[in-house]
Amino acid sequence: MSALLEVKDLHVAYGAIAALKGISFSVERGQIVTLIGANGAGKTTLLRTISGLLRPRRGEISYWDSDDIGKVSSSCSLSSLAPHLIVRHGVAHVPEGRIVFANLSVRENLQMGAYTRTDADGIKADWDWVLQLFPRLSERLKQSAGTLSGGEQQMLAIGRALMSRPRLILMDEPSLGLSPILVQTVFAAIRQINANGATILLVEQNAHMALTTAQIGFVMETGTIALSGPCHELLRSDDVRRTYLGES
Amino acid sequence: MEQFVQQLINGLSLGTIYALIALGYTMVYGILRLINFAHGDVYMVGAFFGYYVARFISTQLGYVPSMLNFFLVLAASMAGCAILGFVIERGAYRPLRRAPRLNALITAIGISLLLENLGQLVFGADPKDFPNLIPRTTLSIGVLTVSNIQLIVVATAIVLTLGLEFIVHRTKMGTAMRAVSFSGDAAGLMGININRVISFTFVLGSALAAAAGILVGLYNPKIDPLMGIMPGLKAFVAAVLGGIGNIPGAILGGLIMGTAETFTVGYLSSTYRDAITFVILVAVLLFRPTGLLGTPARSKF
Ligand SMILES: Nc1ncnc2c1ncn2[C@@H]1O[C@H](COP(=O)(O)OP(=O)(O)OP(=O)(O)O)[C@@H](O)[C@H]1O
Ligand SMILES: [Mg+2]
Repeated sequence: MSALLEVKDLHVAYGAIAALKGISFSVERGQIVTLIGANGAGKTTLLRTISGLLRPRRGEISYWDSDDIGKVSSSCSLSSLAPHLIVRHGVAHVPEGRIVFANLSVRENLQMGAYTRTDADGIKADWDWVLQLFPRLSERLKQSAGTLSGGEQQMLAIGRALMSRPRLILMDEPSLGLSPILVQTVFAAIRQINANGATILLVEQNAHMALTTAQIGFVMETGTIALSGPCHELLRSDDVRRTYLGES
Repeated sequence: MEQFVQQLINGLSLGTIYALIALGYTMVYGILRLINFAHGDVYMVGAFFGYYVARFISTQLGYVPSMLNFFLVLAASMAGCAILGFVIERGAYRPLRRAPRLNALITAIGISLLLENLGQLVFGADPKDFPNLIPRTTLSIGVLTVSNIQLIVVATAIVLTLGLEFIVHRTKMGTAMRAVSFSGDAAGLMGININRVISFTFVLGSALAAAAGILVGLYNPKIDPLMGIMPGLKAFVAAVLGGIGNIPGAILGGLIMGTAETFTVGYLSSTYRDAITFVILVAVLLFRPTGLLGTPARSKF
């Protein structure tokens, strides 16, 4: 296996408030990696920095680009690129709170997902795949996205990200506010997306689901990584069980 | 009754001009949450571009007034103002993109003053007679009179509005504009180059303002470097009335403003021609601050 993303000594601040205080970790190609941590630990800040919405004070974000058959072509630094250029490298971000374009139809939202692409055949294939993954979207293509239910909006946010055919998908709390059955649907989709070849960096509040779905986990605490390891080990750790799994 | 219908016709044709200007205010606001106070002056520059192009055409190329003449002048002026809008955004607003919003607002007022004073310097402060682009005729329908100019003004405005509607709702760039207006961050994550979308919005809005400048030249053939102030203000009120950021709202607001103006002049007194603008503004702010078609939500198109 080879690294797809490597973050080194990342520092991010909002004005005078430090939100990330030296984060280092890497994500191997093909994995599902999860980031868990309490509210305010800096998970969203980390994802927003990787996708270019925030600029780091210090530190490096390296990404190994590859072509469709997985041949690594080059390593590049994401930390000085604008978001719209980072997408072109194959990094998609399903943001916290979904942020589907409520004033656009479901169809237009998915089309915007493929904004950078020109390969009509590939777009068509991904379109079919997304609608197969989330059949509920296909019944609602003409509907404005603002009228979708919370679960449907989450499906749309994920589907929209898939339309760029990403190699790395950053997902920020995709299960937030969903009913248990929809949480299952979303996690099933995450596994399928990963099986289809995309690497996933998953931020979750639902630590149990996250740690049973991912292979590698990182635990964030106030801007640093406190703990990391294979998920099956984290699931056994007393610390994690007490703090994040609600066990005593 | 005849007078009522006559005023309505006059009001709607004046209103289409306000609507064209209001579209630029509303689109820029929708994308940047910025009131581009220089927009009325772009309209003025549009009229002057038209003035010089028309003079060039008639003196150098020897065209007589005709529809072709009108189309050439319209196209040239729209292109000129599109470039002007692009330059204003690039030079004045883009460097302030991350600054507090008040800075951009003050800059907008500064650009407005700059264009007005530069206009007086370059074009001269005296009013100029806008060349006669189209031979004038009047049509009588019963007791009503409609000039061919009014028909051309309204028809041009309708065609431009339909064109805008097509761009905004049927093209990739237009869809990107609506996406940016909802959330710049989310649009960036789709790979949309937000700066390009903003430039495009200024280009589009400024071209429409130029068209309004040409149409007003047909209609009311005195132009001067301060002519943008009042119509700019009225179009701004039109955009607020319709719901700032809302495209159909800007058109509706423009038509209402135009009609309100001609009715005020026709039934009250021409003294109140401009006062009605502020009466409407105050009324909107008091009773319906989101405007007629505006929503309090973040979605703006
Ligand atoms: N725009 C902002 N301005 C100032 N401080 C911010 C801003 N956004 C986040 N913060 C602060 O940065 C820290 C990290 O926030 P962040 O949103 O990254 O946490 P999180 O781990 O995603 O939390 P949650 O689980 O609640 O989503 C918090 O202390 C937060 O208050
Ligand atoms: Mg968060």
